[in-house]
Amino acid sequence: MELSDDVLVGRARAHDTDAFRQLVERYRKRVYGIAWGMTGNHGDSDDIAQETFIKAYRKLGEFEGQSGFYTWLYRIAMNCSLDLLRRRGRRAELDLEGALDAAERRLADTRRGAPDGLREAEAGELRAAVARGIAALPEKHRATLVLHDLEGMPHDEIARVLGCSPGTVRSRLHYARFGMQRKLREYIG
Amino acid sequence: MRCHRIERLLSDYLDGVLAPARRAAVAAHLENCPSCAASLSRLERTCALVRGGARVPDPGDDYWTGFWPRMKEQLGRAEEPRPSPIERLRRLLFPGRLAGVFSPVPAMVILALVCFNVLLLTQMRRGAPGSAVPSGAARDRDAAERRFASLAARGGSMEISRRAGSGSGVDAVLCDSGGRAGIDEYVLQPAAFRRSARGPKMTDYIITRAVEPSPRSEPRWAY
Repeated sequence: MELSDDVLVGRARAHDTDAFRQLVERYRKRVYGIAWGMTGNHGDSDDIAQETFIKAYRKLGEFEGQSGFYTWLYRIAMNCSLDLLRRRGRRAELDLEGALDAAERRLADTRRGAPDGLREAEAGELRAAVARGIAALPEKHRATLVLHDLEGMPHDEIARVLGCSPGTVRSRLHYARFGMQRKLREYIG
Repeated sequence: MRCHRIERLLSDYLDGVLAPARRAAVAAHLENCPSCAASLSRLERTCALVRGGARVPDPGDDYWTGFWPRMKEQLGRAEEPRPSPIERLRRLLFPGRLAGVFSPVPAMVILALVCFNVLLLTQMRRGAPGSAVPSGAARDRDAAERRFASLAARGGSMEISRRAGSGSGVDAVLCDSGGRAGIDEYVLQPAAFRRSARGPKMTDYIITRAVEPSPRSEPRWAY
């Protein structure tokens, strides 16, 4: 039987490493997903995912259980992501530009080759365009969009993660979506 | 409702978070306004593209298999007690595998020998082995002391002032009053400096002028 988050958190607080391992395995992909949504590259996503769980382990004593463990964990992941983006400044965007260039080169190569590969390459091009659009959003709008449209979190949960009101979440989501619409104009038609 | 107000509500309408009355008003407007209906359609398409296009690439089984072991290693390091200063010194002196070979005791013996040799060399350079130079004396103080010793031996003197807070005036003039080697002893002599509760320190003063010896120079104190 799978143990609940609360039980595992309680055991992890008592230095049960195996309980914490189970929590890590339960949420690692989602934490990685948030980090990837915020940074758009594997290296940074890996750093953020590792840092998130290490911080969570160290701060388990401060977790009061007022929100769910995953909400608390997401908040740490989002803060780690925002910290990294602020430290990096424009470098993250440059990484993304590099990824986009690579995707475009792959597309050009594939167009010269078999037609079956074309659809896949175009999907790759779209993914790069989406990633570039997300990276161009203001940090708070990006965080809201990632948590809502990629992670499928409800507004009130996002509000708890980002420490703002649900109304603010809805407003940021509105601006983020219209921002993405402008970036993806050529795909929308 | 007018179109510009409807557009501000489309994102919430799409998420189904509008209050029932407002939702009904938006739906009624959309039925009669092709422009807003098209706007909603574009927004829906945008959300679909974002969801589909922002698919997180799976870094692979190898990555996930190694995720916990790597983190456990970092957690272990985080939980490790902070090494003592001796231990940190030992790791600094004997990094890598050598750290396991050298235990703290021989490391301390070697360190003591090194310190002793450095001290001995310092004393030999100064030319006054065994003189009571306070530990922790600043480098500029040593330089000043050597310079003063040289000047005093030739009958010269030095003007000094406080390092901060007393302007650029001369607070004292140092000269040799009879065989003392340490510059602190000279600084202590003037009454103005004795008023300090903490006691004057050479690091509190700077040399403003070195007075080269003259044939008629006499030992004196002025402030």
